[in-house]
Amino acid sequence: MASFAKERRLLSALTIGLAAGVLFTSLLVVVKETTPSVMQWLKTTFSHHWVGHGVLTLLVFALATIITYTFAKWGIGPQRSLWVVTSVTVVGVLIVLGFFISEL
Amino acid sequence: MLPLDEIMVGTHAFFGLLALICGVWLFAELRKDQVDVRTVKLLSLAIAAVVWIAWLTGGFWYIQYYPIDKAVINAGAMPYAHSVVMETKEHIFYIGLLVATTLPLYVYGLSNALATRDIGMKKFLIALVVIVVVGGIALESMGGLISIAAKYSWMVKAGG
Repeated sequence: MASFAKERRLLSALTIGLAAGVLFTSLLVVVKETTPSVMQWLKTTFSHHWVGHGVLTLLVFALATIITYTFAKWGIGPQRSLWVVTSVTVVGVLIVLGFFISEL
Repeated sequence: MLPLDEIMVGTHAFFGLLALICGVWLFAELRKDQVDVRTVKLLSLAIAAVVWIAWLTGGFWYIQYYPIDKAVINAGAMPYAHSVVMETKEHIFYIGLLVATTLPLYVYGLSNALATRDIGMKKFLIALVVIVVVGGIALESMGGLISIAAKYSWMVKAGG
């Protein structure tokens, strides 16, 4: 029983972390491309904006996962996790692709 | 003198292909009635490792060598190869990187569920693997189009 609860917590934490990371990376594309100061900050801090983008994405994923695992008192099962991961992936891809097509 | 730029980009594409092969293999393993958890663990680790290698090699090439190709592509007949295709590819890759990174974390952390034939968990892992494979095919295709655009643009620039 304890093992099941721990597994459920891990599943939930990773799923929330993954969702947070995917949404963050997609939205950061729009923000940095439309806000020169953000792009400049990424370039200055990380020597290249794309490197900074990656570092921040992984950081958001890690933090969201750890915080959820540590503090969340609820859990989501595999079926809901499947919907969450699939949905955010599709939404994330559409945000990025849609933005660059709109900039044509 | 070694053409480091060609080696890096070739390595990047090769490891992307390895991720696809491992993904299809893992898909087949997860579809079995009795999942071989050890094989699933190894494949999930392998996918994460090769995707990270693909990211690091591709990232190095992108920062060090791509700017020259980018300038030629933007001045050529297929500027969308950079403005849409490369820009999309370099950013949605991070989605794939996250999915590939979480794959072994899910597998190792939830191996008991896999061993006890938890159907819901299998379906979830299969969905992640499908994302890796479909995403990998999309990214490989985008990379191919960018390569074609670069070659064509350089050819035209050279007077061909």
